Amino acid sequence: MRISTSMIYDTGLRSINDQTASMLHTQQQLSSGRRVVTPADDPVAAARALVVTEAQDINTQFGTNQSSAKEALSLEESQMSVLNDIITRVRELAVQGGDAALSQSDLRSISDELRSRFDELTGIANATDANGDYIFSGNMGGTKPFGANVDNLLAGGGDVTYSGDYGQRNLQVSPTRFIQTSDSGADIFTQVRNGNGSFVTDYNGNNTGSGVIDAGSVTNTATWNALADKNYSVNIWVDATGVAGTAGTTYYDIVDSTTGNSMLTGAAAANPPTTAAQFQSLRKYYDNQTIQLSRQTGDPGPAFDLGGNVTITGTPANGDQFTIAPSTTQSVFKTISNLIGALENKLANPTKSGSAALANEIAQTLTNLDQANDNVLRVRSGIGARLNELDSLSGVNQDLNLRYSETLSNLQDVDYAKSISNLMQSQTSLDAAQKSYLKVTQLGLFNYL
Amino acid sequence: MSTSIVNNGLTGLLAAQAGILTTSHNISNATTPGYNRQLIVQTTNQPMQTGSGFFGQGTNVANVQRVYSQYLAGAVMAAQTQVGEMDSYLAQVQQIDNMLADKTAGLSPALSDFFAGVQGVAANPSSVSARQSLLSSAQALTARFATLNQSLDEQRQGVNDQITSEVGVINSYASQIAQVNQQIIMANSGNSSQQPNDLLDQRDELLQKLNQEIRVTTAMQSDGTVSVFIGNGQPVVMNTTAYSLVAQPSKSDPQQTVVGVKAINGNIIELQQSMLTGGTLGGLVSFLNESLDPAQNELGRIAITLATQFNQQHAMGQDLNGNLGGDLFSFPTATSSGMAAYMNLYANKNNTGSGALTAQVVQSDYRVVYDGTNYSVYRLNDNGTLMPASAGLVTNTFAGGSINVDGVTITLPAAGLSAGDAFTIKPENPTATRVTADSTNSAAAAATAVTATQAGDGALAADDYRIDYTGTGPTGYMVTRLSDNTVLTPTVNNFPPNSITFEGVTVHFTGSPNVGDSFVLQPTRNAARDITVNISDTALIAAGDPFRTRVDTSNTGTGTIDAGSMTVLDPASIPLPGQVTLTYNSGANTWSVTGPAPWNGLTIPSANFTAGQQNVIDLKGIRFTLSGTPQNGDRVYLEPNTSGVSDNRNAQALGALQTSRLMEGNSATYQEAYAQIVSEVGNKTREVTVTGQAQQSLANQASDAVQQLSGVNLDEEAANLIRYQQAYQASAKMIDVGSKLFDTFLSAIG
Repeated sequence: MRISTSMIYDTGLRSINDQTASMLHTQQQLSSGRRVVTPADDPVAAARALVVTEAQDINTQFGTNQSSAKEALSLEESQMSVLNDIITRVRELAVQGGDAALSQSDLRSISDELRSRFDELTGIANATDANGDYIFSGNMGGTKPFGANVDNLLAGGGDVTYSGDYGQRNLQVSPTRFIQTSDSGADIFTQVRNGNGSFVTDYNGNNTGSGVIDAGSVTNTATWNALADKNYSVNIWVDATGVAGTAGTTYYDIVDSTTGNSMLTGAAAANPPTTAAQFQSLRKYYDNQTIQLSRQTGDPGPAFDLGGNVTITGTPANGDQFTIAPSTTQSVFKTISNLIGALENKLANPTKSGSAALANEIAQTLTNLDQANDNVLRVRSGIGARLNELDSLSGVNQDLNLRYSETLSNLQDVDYAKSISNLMQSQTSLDAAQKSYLKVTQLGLFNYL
Repeated sequence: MSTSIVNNGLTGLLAAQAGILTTSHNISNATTPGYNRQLIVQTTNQPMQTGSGFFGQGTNVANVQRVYSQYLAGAVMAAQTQVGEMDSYLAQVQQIDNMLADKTAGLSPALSDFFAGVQGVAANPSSVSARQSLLSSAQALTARFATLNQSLDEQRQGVNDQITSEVGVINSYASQIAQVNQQIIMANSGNSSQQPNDLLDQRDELLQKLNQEIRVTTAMQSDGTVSVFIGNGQPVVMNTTAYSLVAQPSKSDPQQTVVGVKAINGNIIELQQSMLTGGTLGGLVSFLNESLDPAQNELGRIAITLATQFNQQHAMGQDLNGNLGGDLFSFPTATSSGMAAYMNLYANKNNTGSGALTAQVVQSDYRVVYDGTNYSVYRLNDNGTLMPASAGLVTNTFAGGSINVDGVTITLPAAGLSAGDAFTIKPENPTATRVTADSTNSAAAAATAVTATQAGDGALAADDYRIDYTGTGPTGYMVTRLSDNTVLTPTVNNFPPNSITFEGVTVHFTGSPNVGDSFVLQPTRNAARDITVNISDTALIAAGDPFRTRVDTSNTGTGTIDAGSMTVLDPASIPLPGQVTLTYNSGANTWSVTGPAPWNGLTIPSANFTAGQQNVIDLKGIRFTLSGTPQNGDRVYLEPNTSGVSDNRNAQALGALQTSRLMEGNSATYQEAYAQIVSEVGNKTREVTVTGQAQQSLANQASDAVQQLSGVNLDEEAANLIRYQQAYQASAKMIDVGSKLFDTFLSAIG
């Protein structure tokens, strides 16, 4: 083969250039730690890396959201824990207040503590987070949710109004999961069903006897719900002269307050009963005996069923009335202020038959506090469940993060062993190319002429 | 006899001299580019016939020949024009390749940061610092768009400048070739049988250089000149005349530098881009068409899609001041045309008619309301504009027919609907979720639903178009997509009148064009340059929804309503004019809607509500879920979201845009669309690199082959030198011998 002199130079130079370029590329990969220095090195991996990087960024954002959600929920949980303590303490105080042996000053100190618990409760309800937003005002973070004032409530103002809204703040903590980070204050503080949840019992303020009615229980909610009229009263009548039997026997009637009819007879209630027949159509009252709110054997009238029962204890007097009304919602504030009211009423009128009033009020308060406590527990268990979920999500989140990092590393990162070996190889080749170039170019016939 | 010996010696002496001369020429041109080694062609002289036979008369040099192969030279030219093209392409595309996927300078990190800002607001909707951080990241995102676009623009300018200078280089080579042609004619005029070797070498070298700038074809002429053509036979050199090329802004697209030739009448005829292939110039032109234009268009498309979709969602939200959200991103409007300033729409300078076009990217949702006789169609992004009756839209004569609004074909059923039935159309959604019937519609309306379709998928494309007036077809205009020269079938709109829509762009036409008039439309080219953040007050970020839901506290049932979300913003219904009450009627299992107009007097029929289940209810663009078991008379409310500063529903909807596939016909997220550019450019770079390397090695092989044949080998020349020197010495010796013979003869007779 014929070789031209310039070919010798060109070929030598070309291979030196090629080796240098390949060495430079390997060096770039090694120094940057990336196999894909520009997208052209591996276009598919480069595009994939962009998408995976974004997925990792989003995942990191979900991690941040999880932390925010955890903070918010922990804050709410700590407030709820205090709220629980308050309700428990108020319950203790209510039970204490029911002790007939208490002195005036004991009652005073109980009522004073209740007032300070009320203020503490207001503080919790109006708690703010680190940004100064109210925790329990739904989405109206800038609006103070409760303007509760015990004296206003005692003065007969309506129940505390909730100024927030019913929105629940949500945070996205995984591609498909939005976690609730707040509960509306209404749900916690004001939307508490009173009584036993279906109906609420009460005593008439003019009662003179010592009868105390319990909260009653509902045996068939559907029956209760289906009733057209939901207001009833249990009226106590004492056959003082013995018209219908032994003098002094206590009877009771169950009266539909809307129509004025006796449920027992199905006719207009005798008010008061005077004849023997009238007394005999009623039921006899026994202390602490369950009063079934449905037709029993011996009732003269048509069948009726209110789906529940109540129990009256003590010795009610003639004409005393106990009412049964549908449950409504009552705020925790109102429940506590009612108790304070009853205690202060007793303090103001120590001699009146205030003890029965107080006992009735305490019985009601205890029922309502139990309702409130159930409500708080419900909300707290929700928070607990969400905190648990966040813990497990955060584990998933970290796993995913690791997985994305691995994927990115596989896509982009250099294999050091391989690249260093490549570098050594190019170095050897370059060395050989340079040395041989020098040797070959020194040859020439003219050297010998 | 001895005279003959001297004569023979003399011819040998002269031939050896010629050999040494040629060898020395070879040696001194060993490094001259394009030089082909030369050899003397030595032949014997005509022999002398005598009675005793033919006696040789010595030698002579017939010719000085260059060692040259037309075939090998052609192979080098073919390979090198490719190498030139790939090199110039690579040099340009590498710049974009490095820039787009850069971990810090690319679009990806800015896009991620921006959505992290949105999520920050979702986490802390009332926090001013979170809101400020969203605005800052939005500004960083628009700045990033602008920076990337700026780099691409600079590169475009650079390429245009380079095309201009390339044309200068080509012209200079062409005129040099013409000159050499002239010299060759003159050289040949003395003796046509002898080749002017060095001139031919020079011309071949010039042709090779020209060919590296642009691919040429050549034709040898009988007078020894060569004619040079580019493309499909456009002459650059004919005999001794060079035709100069001109670089100038295109008549159809002033942003683009095109190459033209000056015709005899002085007019400049633009050469088709497809004629300019091979060589550096070919590389530049293909880089513009294949890499730069698509990358810049795609970047602009992402900017437009992101901005319109973000704005659309943002408009459905409520800001801290209790107002509906404004545009977060905006694009300036060109005062001259009234179009978005990013929209390039060029009328060809040769147009003769008065036809004028304007174009816009319309993205809107629609509401269709049936009043018992007529349909009303509202365009929602336009403050709920009612499409005018004059456009033939509010009429009941569309029995089973359809109307085209902004490229969306809405089909209205002829019968079966009841007064008050209403539908929401979101054209950007996939077909299955495009039309939503209000849940208060009559039961029959579900079976005879309104439908909406779009030509293609209706999504904005990253393409450029040529719009020609042909005078035929429904509008007389023909639309051609430039990337693949496909003729499109645009939707002819009833509204707006005199407009057509194709691939997400609506073009309005006015005036009276002449057949042959043409326009070039680049809908997305400059959008990345123009995108800006429109909001500077943190309070104006609409993180909440403009309504809230509530369950009446006196309800006896367990029916609940969820927080709800906005699907479209119907300005007629939102903001809510007051409290809207939904009351459950257990007898008929319906919900009656009462409240201020237009919310009053609607009923959710039994078909749309099942107690104890999750019932998704759509009502005038609000979507919520009714669940649980309500009792008769139970109420739920939709209310204005007064003071809802901690509401993050809309911020979450905005954040969800990041992972929604809203581009390329609901198949790609913003990031995926961007990754696609990176991948395309990366692939192109790789392809060009690999092809370039392959062509380079082909070119090396071809030039090695030429060198093997025609290159000067100094060792060979040294050997030739010795050979001719010895021949010279031998011939001189012959003359010496001849002279001695003569002397011997003289002394014998003397």
